[in-house]
Amino acid sequence: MPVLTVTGQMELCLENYRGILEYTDSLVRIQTKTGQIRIIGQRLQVVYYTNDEMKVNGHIKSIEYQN
Amino acid sequence: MLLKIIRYAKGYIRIRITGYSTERFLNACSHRGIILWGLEPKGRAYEMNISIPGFRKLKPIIRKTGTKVSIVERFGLPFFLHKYRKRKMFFAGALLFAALIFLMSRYIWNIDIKGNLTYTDETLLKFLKTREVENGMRVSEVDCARIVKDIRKEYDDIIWVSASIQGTRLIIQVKENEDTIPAMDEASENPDQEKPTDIVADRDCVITRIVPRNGIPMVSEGAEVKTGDVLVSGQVPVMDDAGTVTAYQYHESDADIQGRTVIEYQDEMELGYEEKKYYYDKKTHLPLEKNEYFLKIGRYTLGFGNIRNQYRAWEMYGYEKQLCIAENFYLPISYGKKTARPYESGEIKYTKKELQQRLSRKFQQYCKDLEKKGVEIIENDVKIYTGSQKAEAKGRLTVQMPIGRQAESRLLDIPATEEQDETGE
Repeated sequence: MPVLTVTGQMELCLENYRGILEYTDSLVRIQTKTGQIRIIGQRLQVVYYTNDEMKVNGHIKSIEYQN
Repeated sequence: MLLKIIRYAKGYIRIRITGYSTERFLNACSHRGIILWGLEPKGRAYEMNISIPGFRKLKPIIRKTGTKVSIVERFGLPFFLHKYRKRKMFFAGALLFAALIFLMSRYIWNIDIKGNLTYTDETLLKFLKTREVENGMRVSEVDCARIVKDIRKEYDDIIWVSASIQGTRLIIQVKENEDTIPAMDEASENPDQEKPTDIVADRDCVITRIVPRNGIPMVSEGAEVKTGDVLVSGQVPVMDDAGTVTAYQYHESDADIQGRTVIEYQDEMELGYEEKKYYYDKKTHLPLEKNEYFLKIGRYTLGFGNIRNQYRAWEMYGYEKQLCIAENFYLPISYGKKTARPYESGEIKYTKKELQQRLSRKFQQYCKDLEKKGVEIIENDVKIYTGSQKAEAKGRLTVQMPIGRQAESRLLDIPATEEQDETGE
């Protein structure tokens, strides 16, 4: 099960994911066990990206789940 | 912050990934435990930071995913050192720096003395120097226990000493016996056996008033006395019933005595004075000066500029400062400045009025000072004379002033023994 920790509208920490599907500065698509997560926003930036955790900074507008 | 420093020390690379399946590259990296940070999309490519060991492991991933990797920039200490590897002096400097720090930290750079009240730092440092404890000695040679013992042995009224080394500082804390200072005062005030003191005349005068508080008055009002005459005796006779003196009680005599006396006043001054006329620069209107700066290292002096000049008379002033590390580690290096200012000397004469004003002002000041001391001026006939060489204020002041000073009594013999002899006969 993915774990999302959102701080305000600026910061998002994501754990338990499979991998990145797409990454531009307005959209980050992440594959998880249960489905895809879409993060839509502006000036999105992946601060770090490791095997078990990633952090996205930027102006987040919406977080969508697709299963 | 710490993370940044660690990353800088280890070094990292900013790479750019291009190709068809760049996301697959990212996932492959995270799968193999290669840490990526600062990920940024740049059009169809990505830019990211990667550690040096991570970068070495990239080769199979690149082949698998069919992406292209190019290095954008290198960051960190390993690259910095590699870039400047040919600058031998830089590395020599760094090495020298480390060596100097290592060597210098083995010597005492500062001796700090705390808690001393009656002994100055200089006194104690001087004493320590005689025991071969001084700035610049090796830390390994410092024997704190011996320093403590030496100080305790030398100074009786230092009741506690602690010596410790903190880095390159030798810290000596002392505690002085605060009771000794007032105790000594008391001792001088109240000696074991009280000695009698008299009040004697300190100048020839006529006594106008005498009010004794302690002791026996030896003169009455209106008496003429000479310097050294006893005015009040501190030896009070003890009489028996027959009225003969059997013993003396000793006192410190105390009295208010006023006397009339004559003080001679004389003051003279030159008719003129020397005035220095400095030369001024015509353009800047500043005094003409020549400066010399110097740097003294041991016995050698390095000078910049020169104060030598052709003028007949010039005054020279300057300063010299010695370099000092911390509070009391003076290095044999000093610097300073000398300034020469030429002048022309000319004699200027006072006018008669000026002379009179100056002398009478001085006389008035003298009178004021006397009044402050409790002297009452009854009569004065001081006059001002102007001669060809100098001007003079001369005359006599008749004053009424406090008389007397304390002096140790000469012990009187007790006449009782004589009388006994007489009765014996």
